[in-house]
Amino acid sequence: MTFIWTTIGALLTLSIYSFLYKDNPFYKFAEHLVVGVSAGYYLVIYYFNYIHPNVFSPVFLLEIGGEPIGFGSFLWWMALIPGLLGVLLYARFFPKIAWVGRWALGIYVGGYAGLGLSPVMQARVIEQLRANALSIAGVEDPFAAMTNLALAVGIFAAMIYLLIAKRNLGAKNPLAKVGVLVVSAVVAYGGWLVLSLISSAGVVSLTNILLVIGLLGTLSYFFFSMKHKGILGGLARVGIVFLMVGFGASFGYTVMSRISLLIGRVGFLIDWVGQIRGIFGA
Amino acid sequence: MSWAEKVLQIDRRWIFLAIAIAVTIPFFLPLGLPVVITPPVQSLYDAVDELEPNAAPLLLSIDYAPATLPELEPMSMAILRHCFAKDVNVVVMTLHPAGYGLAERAVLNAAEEYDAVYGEDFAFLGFQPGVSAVILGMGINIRNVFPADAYGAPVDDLPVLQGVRNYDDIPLVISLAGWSAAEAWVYYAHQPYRQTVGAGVTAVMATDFYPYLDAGQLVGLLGGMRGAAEYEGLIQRPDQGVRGMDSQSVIHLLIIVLIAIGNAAYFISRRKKTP
Amino acid sequence: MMRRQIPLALCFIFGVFMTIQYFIPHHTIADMQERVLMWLQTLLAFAFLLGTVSLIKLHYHKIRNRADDRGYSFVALTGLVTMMALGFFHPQHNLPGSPFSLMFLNVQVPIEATMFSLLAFYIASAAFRAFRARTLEATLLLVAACIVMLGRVPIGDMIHEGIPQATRWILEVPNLASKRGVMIGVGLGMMATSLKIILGIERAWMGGGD
Repeated sequence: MTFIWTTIGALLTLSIYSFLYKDNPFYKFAEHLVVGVSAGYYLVIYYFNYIHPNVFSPVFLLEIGGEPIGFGSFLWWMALIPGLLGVLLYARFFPKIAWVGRWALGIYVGGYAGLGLSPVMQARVIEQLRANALSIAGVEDPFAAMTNLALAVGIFAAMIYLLIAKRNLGAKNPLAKVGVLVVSAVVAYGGWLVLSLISSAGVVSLTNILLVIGLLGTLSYFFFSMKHKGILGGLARVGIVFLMVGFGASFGYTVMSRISLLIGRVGFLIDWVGQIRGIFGA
Repeated sequence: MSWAEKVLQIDRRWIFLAIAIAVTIPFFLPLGLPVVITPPVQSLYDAVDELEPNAAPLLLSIDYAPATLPELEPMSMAILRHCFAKDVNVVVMTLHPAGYGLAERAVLNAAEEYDAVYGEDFAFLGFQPGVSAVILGMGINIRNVFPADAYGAPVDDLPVLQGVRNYDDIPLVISLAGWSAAEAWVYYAHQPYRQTVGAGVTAVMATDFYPYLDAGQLVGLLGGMRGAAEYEGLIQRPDQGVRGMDSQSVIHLLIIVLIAIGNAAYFISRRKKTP
Repeated sequence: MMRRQIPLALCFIFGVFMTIQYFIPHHTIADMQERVLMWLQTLLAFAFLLGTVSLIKLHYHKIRNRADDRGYSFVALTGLVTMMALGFFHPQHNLPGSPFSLMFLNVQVPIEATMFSLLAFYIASAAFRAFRARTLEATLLLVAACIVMLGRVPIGDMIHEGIPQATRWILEVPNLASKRGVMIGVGLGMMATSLKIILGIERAWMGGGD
């Protein structure tokens, strides 16, 4: 039985690879089959792992995790309301009442936006600035210190390049400017906290200078859209060098990744051929 | 048409064929090249190795989908084998719906090899949607998010989860993911709860994770099939990862040669056009 | 009012609550947070299933309009219905070895995994055709890529021990620096977008119409 299932998998694998020669019905068959099968799989998994125990069961069967709950009780309402909001999302299929879906979407979008704000700032901004600052501090080996310094310059140069290149936000709306100001204030506060932490630890002033440059550079991301000129332009050139080597590393790793996927599938096919030989005693 | 131009206009299916041959041959003629261990893999291995046997469990979040299976499944097998060999308890969960079947397969296969007992040595909590909401919710109480395991048994009935309330009772979380789930563990478990987190990601993503590694937000990192191969080397149980490294070597060489030929042909044909 | 203001107000209220709850270590807030997290999970689960409805609509229309490739739409819908039947009508579909699980492991997994492995062929072909050392920047990228490709496979160690060392340096210095720069820049962008959504400046999620 296992062999039959493996054979189905192997034949489907070969159908997909037939695309390398040219597009053909075998490939199209497998491609459409997987669309349907995966949609069905996800639907069942979502239903039984989440919707059934957390919405259907409390609302209609009046029980949560096998424990009975009262009709109209707090827990009943707490299952019904999000369930109803979820159903509202489907209003989009009926143009006349499509707007009701926005109520649910508002909660969803706002909730997730709020959820991410502080952890993203911590993980991607503050911790990164702190790690960078600490990597120059307290290193006695001159070679290591040079490496770390290169690291710091590289990061800020790369950032400044991005600032100039991206011209983010384009705040035309006055409210958008308020938003930008709030972000900047939060970032500045975070940076100030990091700075005070480092200076209280008696770390070399070079670190602080670099941090201030980095912070100013970062903030300029929000306020300026400048041309590649002067010091900023020079830093941006250094930034390109770092970015290119970084992208090169990413490209090398991407090749590695894709090849690994191929190796995995070829290994699967070779094992399958081994099974056939085993069965037919070749 | 000069030879250089001919080379540049070669039907790409010849390249496909070359790749197919290069990937297959090492399966039949293994080179057996040794895999050197790199620091990010060593540190993840050490973090798992330091866990107490038969005590607080490792939380393994198997968050990958079939698309990245060959890179990430060898990692889950290696980590699970490491744990079961050392009697370290494991709780497996997933943030990806397709991870449900893949996580189940990995943990049951590894458990069978080591006669690990369900409920006592390991448990499978199944899937929950919502990534950040799940990770944050588990920081308050795991039971709120996973009241029961994947098969409907209440979490309180599983000895492996006795006394485990939230991240305070979990010494290490490892996420194996081919998408942003591994990052989400850093954002929502490490940052607010200071949970120790390790990750195994596809090679495509690995370079983006070095800042987290350097900043101490990740205790260790496995990058792609090579990362899995190194881990297999550390637990001295070579499998899919190590087996793939020979083909990987041959194809990388082939691609570098292809890049060199492509460039040589390009510059020669261009020089001829502009005398 | 009902169509625009209320959704914006809900977005603002839930956004602000989820932002500030990290900073208020009180059990009332923690209880509320638990509830809101579950609401968000529920909405996400329902939102995910929207895609399935769209998929059914698409293929249903193709079949009804007698499109040329409607045969494949039958294949897709048959796959969907089969999986739903195996999931909903098989009492132990969630146990290993059930037909539902076997279909997943032997149909969905091999096809999806193989489709992504096709990229190996295309990236090799692209490297041959498009990866040219035309400028200084492109040369830097190319050289770094080749060093990393060699340095991360065992054969690189065999050729010269300097290759893996150079790879490590590339990853830990220039790569780390540039990725950290991007990370901070994108992080700030993400924060700005979140704030714009919460404050009602970014309203693309509401779609068009009034």
